Amino acid sequence: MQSKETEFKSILADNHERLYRICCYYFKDKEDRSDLYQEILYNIWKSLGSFKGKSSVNTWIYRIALNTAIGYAGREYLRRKSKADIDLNLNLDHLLYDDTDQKQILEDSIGELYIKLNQLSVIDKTIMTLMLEEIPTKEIADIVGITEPNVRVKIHRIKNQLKIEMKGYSYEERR
Amino acid sequence: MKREDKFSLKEYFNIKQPDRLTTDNIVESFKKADRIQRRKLDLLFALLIIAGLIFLLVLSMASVFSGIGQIIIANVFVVIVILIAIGLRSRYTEKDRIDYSLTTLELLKKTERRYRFWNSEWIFIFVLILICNIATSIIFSSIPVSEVWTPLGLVVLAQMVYLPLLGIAFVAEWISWKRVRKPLRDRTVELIKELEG
Repeated sequence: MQSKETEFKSILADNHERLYRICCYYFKDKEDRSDLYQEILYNIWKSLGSFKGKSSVNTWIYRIALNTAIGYAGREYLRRKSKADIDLNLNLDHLLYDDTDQKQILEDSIGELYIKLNQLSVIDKTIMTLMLEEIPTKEIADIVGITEPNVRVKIHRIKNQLKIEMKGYSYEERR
Repeated sequence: MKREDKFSLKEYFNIKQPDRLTTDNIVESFKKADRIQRRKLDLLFALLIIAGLIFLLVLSMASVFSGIGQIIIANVFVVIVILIAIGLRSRYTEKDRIDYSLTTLELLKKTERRYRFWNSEWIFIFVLILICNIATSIIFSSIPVSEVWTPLGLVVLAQMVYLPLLGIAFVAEWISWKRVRKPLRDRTVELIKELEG
């Protein structure tokens, strides 16, 4: 039987990139990312004994990471009362449409991503995070604890919300 | 655009973990955090035991004036107080172990229950205070009385000490809940509604 330490190191070796990505989706600031990352790792460390194999390791990891992120974001929300200084005139439509040179645009406007992500509620941000991780809706439902149709409805609503916000500021028009 | 040319956020954020966070120092820092947490719990438990023993000592001194029956009854109550304190300790330990591997909805619902003002911890605390009160009242009521202080008068005197203390504790807890836990609970309720809606 693996020791707690070996098991933890093995999980970390397999998942550190995806865990750090989740921190990146939630925070732009390096310090916040690092703090959240460590908090996620600590919660994985503490939860090691609770994994019973009812769900896949991936689902288990995502649950811990996202639940920690929600808690962390909630505390930050209360602390900072949200960074409400959001410029709505920015453009992120390239995240929703495939017919643009996404790589270049994304690199140019990565800051905008955070602005749009920060405009979403913490629940929508969680779903968006899982969408960005390309997790199937069934697994999203399993991670979050709601039904699959409910997940689909939420994804549809989030996409619509983003499209509406970006209406009139399309990338093509800006060019 | 070709599929392979598409750039995803997943790729963009595919960053190695920060260098300073090597696996070894992470594990060491977690072990240290576990040790600190355990020490905190041990300290809390030690304080509860000391408080229980002081209470026992005070009652024993008062019970010099009482009959053997009262001494036994009072001490049984004190033992119950200590057992409840031990129960509180294990509950506290369990509370610290929030299960982050639950689904988000389950975790939020558990959090909401934990942050309610009237939660099951109140029952523990109320029973604890009630038992302390009964034990004190038994001893007080059996102390030989003067003409001024009847047994009933002494019990009333004990209540006059207990009730204001209880009131102060209640108000302090309410203020603390309102300032710290209520905003968290309200936020949690909002999240549950959003998730279920």
